[in-house]
Amino acid sequence: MTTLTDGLTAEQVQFFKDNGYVGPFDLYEPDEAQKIWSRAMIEMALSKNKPHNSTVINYDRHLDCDTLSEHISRPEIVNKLRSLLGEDIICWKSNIFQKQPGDAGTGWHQVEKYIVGETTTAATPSLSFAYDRDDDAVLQDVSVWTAFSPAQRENGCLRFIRGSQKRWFYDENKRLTKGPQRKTDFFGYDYSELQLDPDWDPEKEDVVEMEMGPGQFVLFVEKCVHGSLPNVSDQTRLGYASRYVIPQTKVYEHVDRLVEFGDEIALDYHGCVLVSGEDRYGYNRIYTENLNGFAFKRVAADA
Amino acid sequence: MPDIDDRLRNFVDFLGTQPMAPDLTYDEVAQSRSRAELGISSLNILILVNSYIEEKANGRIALRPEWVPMLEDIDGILSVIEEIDASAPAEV
Repeated sequence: MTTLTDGLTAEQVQFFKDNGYVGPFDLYEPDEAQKIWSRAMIEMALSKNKPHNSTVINYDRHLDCDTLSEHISRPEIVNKLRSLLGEDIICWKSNIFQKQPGDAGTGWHQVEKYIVGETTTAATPSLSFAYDRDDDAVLQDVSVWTAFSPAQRENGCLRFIRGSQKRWFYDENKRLTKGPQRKTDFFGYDYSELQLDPDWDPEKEDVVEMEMGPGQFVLFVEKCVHGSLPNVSDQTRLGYASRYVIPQTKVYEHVDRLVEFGDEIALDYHGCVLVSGEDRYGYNRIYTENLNGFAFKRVAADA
Repeated sequence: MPDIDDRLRNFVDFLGTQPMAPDLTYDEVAQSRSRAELGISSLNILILVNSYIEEKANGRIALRPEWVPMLEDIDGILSVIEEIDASAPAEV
């Protein structure tokens, strides 16, 4: 009998390797998801230990919001990550993705080292993979995108181009221009500027629309080209992405601030959370408790 | 139960005392249906309602998760304010 906390099956691992994503999986009941998000919202609004004061750059609220601190190491998530990343896993980042009624879709994009914004460059990426890469054996970065509202076609579900993680369609090392919103909008940047082949039409590729109910999550590798549909409904779409790497990865090694989306934050608050296994490298600051003193959980091997 | 206009006026009067709230007239709020139309973010409405609790209920109650979705529209905000008022100590 399978349970929600199981790891991935061999077939699911293979599906992930072939397609760049796998899911959706159940985590919370729909009503529970709504309550959890409401609790998180209250904690975020009233937090006395905010990691930074930007509301535009909404990163890393798992560091000051106990509800999200718990969420990132749920065994339902971590056991599936283990099937892809191995035993040792750190959570290095989280983002909130709120799409209001009428909001545009998010343009196609493809990243690996998170060279986005004005302070990260090819020489100073967000992630440095300080190990010999063998893509068949170890993955570098897996995102877990959890829906805390319905995430259907009409209110802007995620979409992927299946299999696109196997080659580059965009040059992540090029600079993005912040400009007026347009069809290929990526949070105010025009991501199509990075397209390697100007004639490539992502819409003609094998597009998968990932509809999810509240409380479900999907795992994907950021190199799999992805985006989202516009919200043409009257219902807000809420997603929360937590991002994981193996401890051999150097996070923000030469980056001390982020300038993105028209705002800026200093990264002096930043640290990673060990959600499984051990950190045998010491490359990154590891938080054992969040900024409120709430202890992070590390999922035991048999959980 | 207070008249709807009284509840609305009470809410607008309170917003007028809050530096972080946009400058809104009674008519502007009366003509709006949603929080977003008032130009108040989903996090800021929570901060504003919490300030209201501190001022009117003197810490006797806390923000409740079940209120959060209600704060998306004006009717819901007024219902929450009414619940807070019902918990508040009587003025002397």
